[in-house]
Amino acid sequence: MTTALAGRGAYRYLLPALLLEALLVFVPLGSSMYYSLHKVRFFQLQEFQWFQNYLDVLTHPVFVNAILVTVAFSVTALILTFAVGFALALFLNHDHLYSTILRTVVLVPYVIAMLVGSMLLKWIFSTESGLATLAYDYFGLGRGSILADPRHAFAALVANGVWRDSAFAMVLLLAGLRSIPPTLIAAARIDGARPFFIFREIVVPLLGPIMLITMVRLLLHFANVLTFPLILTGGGPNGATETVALRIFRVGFEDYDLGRANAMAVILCIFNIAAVSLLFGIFRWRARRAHA
Amino acid sequence: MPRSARLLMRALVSLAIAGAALFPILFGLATSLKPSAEIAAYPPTLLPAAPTLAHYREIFASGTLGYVWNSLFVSVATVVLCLGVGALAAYPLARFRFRGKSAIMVLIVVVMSVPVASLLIPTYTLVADVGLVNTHLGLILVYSAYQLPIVIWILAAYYQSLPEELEWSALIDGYSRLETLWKIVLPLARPGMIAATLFVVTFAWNDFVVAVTLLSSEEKRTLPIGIYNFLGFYGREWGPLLASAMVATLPILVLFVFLQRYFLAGMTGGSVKG
Amino acid sequence: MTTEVGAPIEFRGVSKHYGQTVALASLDLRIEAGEFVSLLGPSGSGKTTTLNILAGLLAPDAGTVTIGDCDVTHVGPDRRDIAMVFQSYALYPHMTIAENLAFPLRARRRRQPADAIATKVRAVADTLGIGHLLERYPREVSGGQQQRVALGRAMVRDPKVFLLDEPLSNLDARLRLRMRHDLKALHQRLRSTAVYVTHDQGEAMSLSDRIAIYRSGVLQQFASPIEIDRRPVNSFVANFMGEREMNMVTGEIAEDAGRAVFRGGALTIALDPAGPWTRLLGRKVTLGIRPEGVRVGEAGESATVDARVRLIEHAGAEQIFFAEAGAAEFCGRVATDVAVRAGDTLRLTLPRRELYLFDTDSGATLVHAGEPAGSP
Repeated sequence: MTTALAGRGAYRYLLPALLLEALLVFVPLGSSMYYSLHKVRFFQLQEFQWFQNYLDVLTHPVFVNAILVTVAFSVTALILTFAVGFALALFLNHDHLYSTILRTVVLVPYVIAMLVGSMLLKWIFSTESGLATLAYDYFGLGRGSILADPRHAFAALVANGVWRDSAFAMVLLLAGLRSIPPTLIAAARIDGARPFFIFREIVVPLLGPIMLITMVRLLLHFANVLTFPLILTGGGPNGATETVALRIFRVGFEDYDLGRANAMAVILCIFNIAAVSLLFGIFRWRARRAHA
Repeated sequence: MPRSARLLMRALVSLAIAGAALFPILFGLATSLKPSAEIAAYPPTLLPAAPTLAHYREIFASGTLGYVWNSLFVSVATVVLCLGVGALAAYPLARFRFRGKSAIMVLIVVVMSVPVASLLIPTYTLVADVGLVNTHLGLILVYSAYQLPIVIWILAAYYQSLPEELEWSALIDGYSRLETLWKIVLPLARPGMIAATLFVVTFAWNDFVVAVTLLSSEEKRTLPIGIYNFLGFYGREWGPLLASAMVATLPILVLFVFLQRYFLAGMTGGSVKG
Repeated sequence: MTTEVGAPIEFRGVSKHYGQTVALASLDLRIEAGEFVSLLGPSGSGKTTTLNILAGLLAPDAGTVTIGDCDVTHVGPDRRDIAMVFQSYALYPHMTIAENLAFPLRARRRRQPADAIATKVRAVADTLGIGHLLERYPREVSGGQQQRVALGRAMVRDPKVFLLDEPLSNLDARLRLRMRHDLKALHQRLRSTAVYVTHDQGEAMSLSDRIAIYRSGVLQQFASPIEIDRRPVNSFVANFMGEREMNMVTGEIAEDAGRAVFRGGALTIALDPAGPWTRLLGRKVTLGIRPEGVRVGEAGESATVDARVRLIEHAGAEQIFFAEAGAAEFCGRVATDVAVRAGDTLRLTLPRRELYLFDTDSGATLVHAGEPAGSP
């Protein structure tokens, strides 16, 4: 829906936006690459040293651990969040009043600040609140602390992700479910299909692209997660919950080693761009399917 | 299963879902209203036995009001900048045919999709270089750069949904393109503007990671940074901590509950329409 | 396909309400096995509600529905052994046409072997002339072809009952006429029971064994097309049938010089003395005559009216005129070779066999085709 009228002045309208993006997104990305190739001490750019920083971080066990933690967290949280979100979408795909209310309710953890959400969960999981102790007693696990045990702390981190972001997945998937014409489902029922058969043969295939988009967006979100571990677990115990983003934050803003921090940021960015490219592949595939 | 049993099952499941979503918030609220001794007691109480606002008084005595003002200022300024620049930029994307348009659309999705965390270090380096570290201006500019793509996306989609004939007739009546945008399109695009505003406000009000890297001095702090510092300052004193969390949550919750229609439209408009 | 005749269908006291709105008021309807029945009426009249209740997509508030010998009122659509063609066709967009056609065979609980399904799909596709499209997707074929796929998907199961929800309304005029013809031929071969929802009276007339006419959730009349055309039960049915609206004039029957006349405003029409008028003397009635029934310049015992031509429309082999007589307006047809111009005065003849009289208050038919209502 474009008009041929006055197409020439387009860039006058776009200039302020492009300028802002160039200056604050693309210049930093460039300078990040530049920094990552230098030795940097306390904000002072020192000698150029090719890929030394990359070599350093990629061979450093702490960073390797952060990568492993990030992968483990992303995959676990992605699967659980998507599953819960999908279940919510199917459960709430009606226009009854209670569905509307419940849709609002489950979105609350998503709209409040991540910092606040993680803090509230930290309180619940902490030994001071007494809730965890109650649970440990109830299951006969003896005295312990969720956030002090590496496996439990990791589970708490995943729980944080599922608690906050399931509703995000739900909203996208609900929009997808709504885009399936009701007559298609009615036709399938009359054709003799049972609910599960309809789900498998009609709903899932038609929802395919949106399911992929949802997963990629969740993956991007989880792979870059900083606030959850920073607030909830502080990356501990013993690096069990230290993600790449948290590692970057620490190296950059606590150790002030901007060379290595930038090298790690570039690595994370490359991963992100790969994920976004995948997203684009999906968009294009969808467009081809829609207009073929 | 008979109908009544199914309904009962649904009700129970619904209740469980609502409980899982809201329990941390409600328990936090209850705790923030308990006196310190009750917070420390074991086993924990569900509701405060003797509700008190002591923790709220305490955090407001230690500068929270200033943080709230800073947050408000930064949020409003970011909205103004984002919507001003975004309303303009979305127009050619919705209505014109020009070289480089698809490249710009790609750019928008890329910036929209790349998470903030991976840009923190480079952004910090740059903002430091131009001397905008620890200023609200720096924060507002960075927020705007991060939120502009989604604003443009939402508004362009909304412009496109408007009938183009109105603009044609305004042009024939002698309005310029810019006047048409200002006098015809923008008033009609109000729902889109509201959705975009909500997105920007939520981001700017809630953001913690950008602000924590860019702001250092006490008097510049936004509310989340204030809370983060309480976390270090109060350590395990959960009363004031949770009180400050509630103060940060309330405005966003009110906005969300009353304007959730726009919120949802923005969420799907920014991600599903491709 | 099959030589087996379809199943009979019966509605007993079926009703459906939405809040205060009555979608369907206590419907009683029996459709015989193998019959082609149209449900006709304006939108919101209850015809689609009837179809959806029959399909099992809607649950009635009261009453029972039987298909064959089974009470299916509380049976889901997947177990009713019915097939339906939707107005939007409802083709599965992610499946090829072959997969669309195979879907009902794969979906049923007794699964058939793959090669049996393929043979069946091929046979149905060839019958409908879409055999060369099997590997395409629905969006890659024309509207008419999509329509055939939708029909094929319904046929492939050899259903006892066929439901069709305005299946031709998305086609252009020419194609619609052709599909109408094909549909009729198909039904004659399949002999399944067919229930066809439409708001197009022409479609209903040409396709159906019987027509059910609805208005505001109430079934008005259920009869053969000829019966409905010649003996409508009320003015609504009479007016709804026919390509153009019926000419209607309100007035009363009076006596003038020993002869029955119809008097409506300034208009007086002397009625054929042989007609059944006298028992209606003094009653408030509406006189109706179809445009096709109005003759120009034929004499005899028939009633006549002098009317001034206001407007002429050319319609292929004939001209449609609109002529005023007092406050009434008559629409009629003359051949193209008759010279008529706006402003001319025509003597219109209203033959007794074409005249209808309705009770003005209730709309009930008092006289149809010149015979008293209720007489055989």
